[in-house]
Formats: sequence, structure tokens, C-alpha cells
Amino acid sequence: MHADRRASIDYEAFRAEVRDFALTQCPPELRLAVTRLKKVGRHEMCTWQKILYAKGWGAPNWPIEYGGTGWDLRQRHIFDETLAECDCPTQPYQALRHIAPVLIEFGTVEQKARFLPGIIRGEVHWCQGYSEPGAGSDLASLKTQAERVGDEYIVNGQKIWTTGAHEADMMYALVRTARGTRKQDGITMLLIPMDSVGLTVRPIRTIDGLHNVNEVFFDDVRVPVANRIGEEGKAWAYGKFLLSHERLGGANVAPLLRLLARTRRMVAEEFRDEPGHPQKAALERRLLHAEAEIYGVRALGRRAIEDIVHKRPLGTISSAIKLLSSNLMQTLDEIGLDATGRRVAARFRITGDDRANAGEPGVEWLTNFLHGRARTIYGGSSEVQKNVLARTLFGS
Amino acid sequence: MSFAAAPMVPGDLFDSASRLAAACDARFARLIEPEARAALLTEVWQEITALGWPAVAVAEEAGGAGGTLRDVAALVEGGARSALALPLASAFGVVPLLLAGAGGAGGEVLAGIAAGTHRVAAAIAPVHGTAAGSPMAARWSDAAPRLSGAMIGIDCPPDPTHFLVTCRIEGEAALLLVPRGDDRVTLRHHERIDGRPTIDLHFGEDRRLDGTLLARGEAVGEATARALRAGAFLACVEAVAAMGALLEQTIAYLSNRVQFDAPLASFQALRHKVAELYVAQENARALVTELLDRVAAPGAWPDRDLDLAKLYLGPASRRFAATTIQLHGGMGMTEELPASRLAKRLLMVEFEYGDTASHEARLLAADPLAEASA
Repeated sequence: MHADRRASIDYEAFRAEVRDFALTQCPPELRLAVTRLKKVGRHEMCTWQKILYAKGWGAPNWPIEYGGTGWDLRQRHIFDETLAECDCPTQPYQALRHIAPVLIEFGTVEQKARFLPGIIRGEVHWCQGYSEPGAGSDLASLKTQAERVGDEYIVNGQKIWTTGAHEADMMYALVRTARGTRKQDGITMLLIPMDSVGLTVRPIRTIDGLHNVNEVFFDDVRVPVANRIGEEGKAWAYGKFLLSHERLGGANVAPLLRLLARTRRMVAEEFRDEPGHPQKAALERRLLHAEAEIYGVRALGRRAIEDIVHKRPLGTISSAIKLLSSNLMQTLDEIGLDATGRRVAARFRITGDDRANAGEPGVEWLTNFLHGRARTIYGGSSEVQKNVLARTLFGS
Repeated sequence: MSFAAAPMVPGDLFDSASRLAAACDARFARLIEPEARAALLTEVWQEITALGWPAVAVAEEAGGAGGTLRDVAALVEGGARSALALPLASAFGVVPLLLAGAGGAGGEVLAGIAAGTHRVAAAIAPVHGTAAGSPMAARWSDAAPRLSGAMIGIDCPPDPTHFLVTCRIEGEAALLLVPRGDDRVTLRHHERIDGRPTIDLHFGEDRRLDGTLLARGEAVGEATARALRAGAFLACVEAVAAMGALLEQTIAYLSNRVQFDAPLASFQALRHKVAELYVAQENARALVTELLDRVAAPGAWPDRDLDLAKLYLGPASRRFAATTIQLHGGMGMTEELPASRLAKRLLMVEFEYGDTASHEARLLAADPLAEASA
């Protein structure tokens, strides 16, 4: 990204091109699922990914030699923002944005050739095997064992909260291959086929009534050494590299702005027959306050991008963005609940003979509220982010 | 100390204002009698005048330096780091914008401001005109304005020479210049919560103010709207500056104060509160910094976003102040602590240039469904 090249890019024309593509090429049923706050899983993500790949836009965040687009950071940001504005499903982020950058940075030539094409084409679906029953926010306490026997690792243990494991073909997992003086040492990253013998996926029913996350059990699962990323015992650094990618995801506030607009429309609709209802004005005021705060996060996100472009250290900004954007999503979720709760809270699930029919209209706001509680837990919980910030602010 | 707030408008003006405000605060804090405080502020205002600050945002043809709102923001930001008890935003930012609505009629006053001979306070009807019990009312009597009731809590320089009154008279915007000492108007003096001098103007009953009308009509209305937005935005700039300085001081206090045989900075409950303060402050800083650029750019101001920023900064400032007082424990309740003076400056933000309810009402009346940039 040289200054002279940046000067020649017409960002607004680029934005218009992306928008036109999204609105004409993203299947309406996929966009409707997003608009209606439905669950977005493998089908939605991979269908859209195949279309983007065919256009040559499969992996904007990758280097050109692996199929990247060669866009600068601002273009990539505009791309993400515009797709979210158009209610397109997210791309298969765990594959494209999490493991792929790690593969590109630390993988062998053979591993890149084996795994990257399936990711960019939307053909191979991935899940992340990090958290364990005893290692959530304190990830370095993970215990799943991998013992090397010849050309294989024998894996035993358990992962939990594994998003999309039931739909995935591959897992990138952190496992323990040694006990070092620091618990961050002796952790290794393995790429594990989900159809491996001895691997069992068990669904977890979450409070939102959906099935997104799972438990994954490993019982003498054999993984070829060729599926190890980088060096044995050094994966903590790779995992941190990946998490730093995950946290800057909040710099894209388009999903927040979409949810804001959607919530505003819903409030207007919900109280259409009671325009003078005191709750309506109260909710509208709360939406204004949320909107102002979202503009702050948007400005912070733009600053983060400028910092990266100018190679300035990001410092604490990614933690601040994660805290703010997750809180703001929950603020909007709460407004959604407060607008619809009087109708839908007592009618969460249909239990009678008409169970096959659609649920109560608006119940998705309740589901969304429950689902959204996880935002301040995953990707480094709010409490962990505050610990990280305080360490920097106090210098210890 | 490991945290230092970065200035939003760095440069000589910011540096100079920071130094002056810090020196003033060190003396101001020791003074208890209102007369002694007023005398100090008068002395500091003379220093400010000698530095040429009143001329910063006055056009060159009127004898000023031809600077922008950004230059005023630099002064205001530096001053707010030590809760400077002087109305830089109003006197140097709002007043010149109001006078711009008077066309040629404002030239003489602007020249006086730039020369340091005029110290003008701005009384703006929607903000200062709502005295409970005696709200300001105005009507025309031939071509002369007749005013009743009072305008209250007007932020003013020490020993003001003039009051610039803007209001609507029978639907038409009007700008009046009332010289100090005009016996048709009586004055009451106060200090704001943050120690700044304010004045109430009492017009009595239906007082005819011949000779005060500076301008009337559409241009005055537009200038008033712009001046109000500038005032509200400069209050946001001050809020962010005060938050940054207050966070620095809070971190230093918690790092040094020992209780239960450990520095307070070692307790997680307090560390998390500081992290929350930092995030709130960073968010406000990013929002205001971006708006500074947009206001400085050619073209129309982003009015709705400016209103939203003030809506956000008011309650956020109050929460910030309350939390930092709590974090200082009993010390946070003392007047002598610089941090508590910054906290009091923050508590004022919500009530300057339109309170939260008035901003909410204005934004809702503009139909956010149609206007939201989402």
C-alpha cells in the first residue's frame, strides 16, 4: 500500500461496485435470513462464499498468491462494511479469517496447498477447538493431550463451546503435548478431520433454544504429524496471533448499524397502533443514545485501521473496541427485548399440535437477546479485556 | 504513570492553554472568597488577552487572526485539562459566530473583541431564557424590542463589557447588544458548579430596549443555530479533555494510595472501573476527534451527528465524574483535589447548550427513521 497507489483508488466507486454485486448476486433467501435474525450456519455462509469466490472476491484478507484480491486495508474494510449493510451472511470466518492467516503465516508449503483451496472455495467447513471445560477465559490451562507415536499424534480429551462442530469437516485445535514451566508452553496446534475415528460431537442446547455450539470428545483420535501447524509446543504464539485477528473484527460497525436500523423499524412497527405509548418514546430515546455511542466505536475502528495502515502500534484499541461493540450489541438486544417482551416472553416455544407452524412473530428478538449474551463471553470475555487494559494503564 | 491522554488538537495553542490553565488552577484552588477568585480570573483574562486569544477566531478584516473553530478547540482543550474557570468556548467560539449573523453591524464589536477592549457574554434564548417563574418573553414595540422576565446562568468573561442577546421576537430572530451598565437591565452574579462566573439578566416587565438591536431576520436565526451547535460541540471537546486529565490523575492516585497493605491499583474491582473509564474516554475522544475534522472540512456541518455527540457526552461525563469521585474515596469529596475540580467541570457538561432532554426531543422530532445514517 503505497501512498501514490492509495491516491489513485476511487473508494466510493469501489463501495458502489461491492454494493451492486451484493444486492444483485447474494440470494434473497440468504439476505432474508440475516434480516430476520435467523441462525446463519454452514449452508448460508458457504453458499455465499462460493459466489464470492467465483467473482474473485473469496479471500480479500489473503495475499494475492493464495487468491487474495490485492485490495488495501481501506478497501477490505469497505468490503466488509458494505456486505454487512446489504444483510449478506458472514463469510465462513473461522476458516477464512482465523485459521487461514495462521496457515499462511506458519504453515508449510504442503499444508497451504492442501487446505487453502477448500477454504477459499467454500467447500471445506472449519471449526475452532480451543475452549475446554476447565479452560475458557483461562485458555492456557487446556488439558486435551496429544501424544506423539511415530508419524501420528494420539489425541485424548474434550473441547467445549465448539461453534459449528456438527457441520464442520475440519477442526483447528490447541492440544497439550508437554508440560512446561509456564502453562503457555507445550501447546501444539493440530488440524483434525471431523470424521476421524474416536471423535464424537455432542450438541449443546443453549439458552436461546438453538443448536450452534457443541462438545467434542477425543478418544484415541489419530492425527498425522503432517497436520501440525508450526513447531510442537509453540502454538500459544499462533493462537494469540489468531485471537488478535478476531478482536479487530469489531472495527466493522456495519452489523451494529444494521441492527440499530432494524430495531428502530421494529419499535415503530410494534407500537404502530399505540403511538402515544410511553414505552415507545423511552425506547426511541435509548436508541438515540446507542446510536451516538456506535458512532464513537466507528471512529475508533477507523482510527485502528489508520494505525495499521501507518504501521503504528495498535496498543489497547482492539480491547476497547471489543468491549464497546459487544456491549452495544447487547444494548440493542435489550431494546429489542423491551419492545417485544410483553408479547413474546410468555410464548417462547410452540408446544401444541401446531408445532410445525412458524413461531410467534417477533420471537426472534427474544432469541437474539439470549443468543447475544455470549458476545461479552467469547473471543476474550469483557472481564479478560478489562484485565488486559488495566495491566497497560497501570503499567503492571 | 503509564497513561497520558493524547491531545486532539496538538500544537502551540493547546500547549499554551494547558500551561496557563495549570498555573491558574494551582492558585485558584487555594482561594475561598468569591472576590479573591474573581480577582484572579480577571488577572488571568488580562494575560489571555495579551496572548491574543480573543482574536483567534475573529476574521482578519475585523482585525482578528482569521482562525477556525479548530483553533478555538485547541485553546478550549488545553484549558479544560485543568478545568480552567473561564469561558473560552463561549467568548472566543460562540460569540464571533453569533456576530457573523449581524453582517456589517457586528464588525465593530468583533474588532473590539480582537483588540481586547470588548469582553462579550452570549445570552442565547433557548439555553438561558428559561428561568423558572420568570421565563424570558419578547415582542416588538414599533421597531424596538421589548423584553420581560430573565435570562439566567450566562457564561461570561470577568468584568464583561457587553451582553449579546439572541432570541425570537414574534417568530423573527433578533440579535441585541446590551452594554454593561445599561440601567434597564439588572444583573445577578453566580459561580457555576465548576467555578466559572455567570450572570443573570433581569429585564423586569416588558422593558423597551431602544438602541440595542444589532440585527434581525433569517441570518440571525441561522447564526444562532450554528453558534449553539458550536457551543455544544466545544463543551464536548472540553469534556474529552477533562476526562483524559482526570483519568491520568485517577490512575496516579490509585497507584500511590495504599490500603490493606497494598496499592489500591492492585484491587481488581478498581482496576476494572478504571478500564471502563478508559474505554468511555477513548470512545468519546474518537467521536469528537472525527467531528473536529468534519467541522473543519468545507461544506455543511454534520448537524445530526453533532447533536448526537452532545447527547452522548452529557450523561457520559456525569457517569465519568461520579466514578472518579468514588475511586478517590473520601479525597474525592474535597475541593482541594484537582481531580474533584475536573469532576465538577464534567458535571456541568450535561447542562451546557441544551440538556439531554432537549437534545433527545430535537433528534426525535427530526424522525430518526428517515435520517439515520445506518
